[in-house]
Amino acid sequence: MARRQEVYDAIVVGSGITGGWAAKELCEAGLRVLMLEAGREIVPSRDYTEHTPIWEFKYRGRGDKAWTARNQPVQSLAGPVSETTSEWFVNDRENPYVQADGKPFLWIRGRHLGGRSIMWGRQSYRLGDLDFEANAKDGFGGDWPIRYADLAPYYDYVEAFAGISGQSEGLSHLPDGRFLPPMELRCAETAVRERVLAAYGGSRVLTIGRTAVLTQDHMGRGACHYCGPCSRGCRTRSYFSTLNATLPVAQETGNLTLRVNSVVERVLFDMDRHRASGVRVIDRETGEDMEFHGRIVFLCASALESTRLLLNSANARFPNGLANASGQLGRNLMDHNMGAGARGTFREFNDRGYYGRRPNGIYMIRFRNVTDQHPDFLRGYAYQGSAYREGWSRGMNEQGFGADLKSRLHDAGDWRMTLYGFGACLPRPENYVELDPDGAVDAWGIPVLKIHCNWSDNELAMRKDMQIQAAEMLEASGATDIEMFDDGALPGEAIHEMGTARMSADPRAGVLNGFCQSWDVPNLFVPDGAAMASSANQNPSLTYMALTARAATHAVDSMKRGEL
Amino acid sequence: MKRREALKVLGAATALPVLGQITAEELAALGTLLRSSQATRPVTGQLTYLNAHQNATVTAIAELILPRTDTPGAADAGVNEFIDLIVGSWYSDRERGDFVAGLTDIDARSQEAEGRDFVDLDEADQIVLLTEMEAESFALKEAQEAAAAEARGEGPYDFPTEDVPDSRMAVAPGTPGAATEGPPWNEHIFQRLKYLTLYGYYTSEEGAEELHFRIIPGEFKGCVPYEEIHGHSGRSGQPTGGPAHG
Repeated sequence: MARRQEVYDAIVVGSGITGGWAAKELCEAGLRVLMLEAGREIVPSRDYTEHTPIWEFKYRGRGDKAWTARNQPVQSLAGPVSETTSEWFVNDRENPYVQADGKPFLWIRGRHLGGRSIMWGRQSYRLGDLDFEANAKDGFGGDWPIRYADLAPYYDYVEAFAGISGQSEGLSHLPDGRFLPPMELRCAETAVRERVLAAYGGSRVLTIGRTAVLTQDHMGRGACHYCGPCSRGCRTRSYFSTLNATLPVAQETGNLTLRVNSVVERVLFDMDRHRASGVRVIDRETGEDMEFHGRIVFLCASALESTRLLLNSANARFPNGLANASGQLGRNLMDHNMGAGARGTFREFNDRGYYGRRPNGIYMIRFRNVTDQHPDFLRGYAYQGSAYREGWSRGMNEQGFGADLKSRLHDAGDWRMTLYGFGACLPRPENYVELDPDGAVDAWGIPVLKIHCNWSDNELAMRKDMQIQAAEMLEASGATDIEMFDDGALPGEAIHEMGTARMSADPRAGVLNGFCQSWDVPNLFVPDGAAMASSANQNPSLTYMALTARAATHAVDSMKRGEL
Repeated sequence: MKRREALKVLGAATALPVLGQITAEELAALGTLLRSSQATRPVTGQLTYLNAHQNATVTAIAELILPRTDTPGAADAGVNEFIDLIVGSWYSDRERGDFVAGLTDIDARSQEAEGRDFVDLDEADQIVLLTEMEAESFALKEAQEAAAAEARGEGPYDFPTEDVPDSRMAVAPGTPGAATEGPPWNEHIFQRLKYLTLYGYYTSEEGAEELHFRIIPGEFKGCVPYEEIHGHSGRSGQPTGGPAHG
């Protein structure tokens, strides 16, 4: 094994949304930081393809079916994975995991510089006190050790840097942020906003999505040019990602050492000092073993990878996983309860259209269990979606061919609108991960996770209501041809997996304190989705950013005080 | 691709403000992409799977579905080569077998009616035959949708029907319980050919021009009179995707 002598001030494992933020904050504070990324380097000018026309892809977006079946049979089950984006998702043969019998779970991952910050959905919402108090009120999950007031300054801070466009609505359960100008609503979306406000006495608010896409130039990054396929990259750096935003700032400090192709196998632990002392790494390409040492360690590898790393770092003092004196490591896995809703048609606007491909949709703010309590389920949900005019693919389902068909498809079709639910998932200890008891390993010989997760009756009851309320609001808005749907999305399919190293007010109840700092190993921080004590229904990445900025501030302050 | 055409595809005329924000390096990269677009033009004249007669049949049918008008048609866009690629290396063995059997069936129908293969029919007779086949595929579609409607309520959830008008609870074709006599609608040979023709055409460069697709619109306007955007992209969205069957 190669012993590396360098001792860094901080080691950051992972280069996704939280790894990028950790590197930026720690480097700017003057720390010498080593960032380790398991996957390959990404060079935007070489690897981004957002302007490559679809006819340049051999299968025009459908992908090579035989290759996909062999290499991405799981990844390809998720909506965002296609021929144009498959490079951003892992090879399932190299990166296996085990699903408990009868409990399918989709674990959709990116392993490359920037991680999933390249292909994330960019929807950015704050959690409010309705969310931070939910566990304490209904008893599912442990109480959050923080409240909105603790995180609000960090939301302000990360939003000001990332650039979030949106519309303020003045609702305390979805706090407003420091927004760049909102993108416009489309015709039918404006109508539904106004008609639902009227029909429900102002209690149900449709707003434009709050998104990490720039509507004006911002901190050296260019405004969006509405080309559309964000998940293929962005040469104008118009949306927030590690590569577009945080990494260049971290690199500019001169304090960052970045090492790609570095698969972290375990966190090293110094028994005498009772501190994490570094990490053991396997080079992805050469298989070489090496060690790196640091005064503090930030795990930003994504919820399940960070948890897996801690489970794989068990030692004599922590036989059930590093920093797992509470026994909560691996428990309380959550994802968002996605995919039920309704759609309808609005022909009244067929003399109007829209121009440009808006990388954003609408957001119908949570209205359930805000002031009252629904008899069938706890917590709440929001809708995402959009109104749009049907395109050429409608011709596949309409009778007719020839010049008439071609002429018809030259013009846009009817206006349609979809409301698509995103709901909370209760934190339950029965949803958990462990190292596979049968000993399965990945391509680098590292033990893999076995995932045990399913929806509870609460999530299923919520999905019924998502359909009914969406249909009723569309009906109240004058839509016709209304259909309810439930896509039957599996746990994991929202790609918002979280929990498994939750923060807690009591050291016995969780893995991390309110600063995402291990209760057991004080120089170890896990500020990614693993820290979440509940899921809320908001897309989580903005909260991960704020948690990371807060954790980094706390770490730097503690180091200055000599506490770590 | 000539520079003028490249700029047309890029939508430079409507996107000058935004192009101002793209660095020289990025513009150079765009240029490289467009040059590579010319170099790897997918219409090659090479077939990977279909024989000459099958290809002639597919080419003729695709052109009847989306003919050349004042804009290019399916044959101009090389749709037959896209279909050859999908049938030869994307379809499963069963789908490939069904597709070839479907082409054979088209000739059998043509022989029975006129004593000639499909490609040798007059265009008017070709249209009559395709019209019959389309009607047959849509009869299957309607039967499947009716069966699906009947199977409604047998899904994973028991809906509170007093709150939910029946018309809202459509079950998608292909849902268990929606089975009818005959193959699934989307596996009828006419529907397969129509699906592949539309997909292949509207994801081609010619199809993008037909829809006035621009890679860089440069701005977003949420609600404007349709005439203002007629001739611009954003009307029909990005020429990608489509239903996942085929």
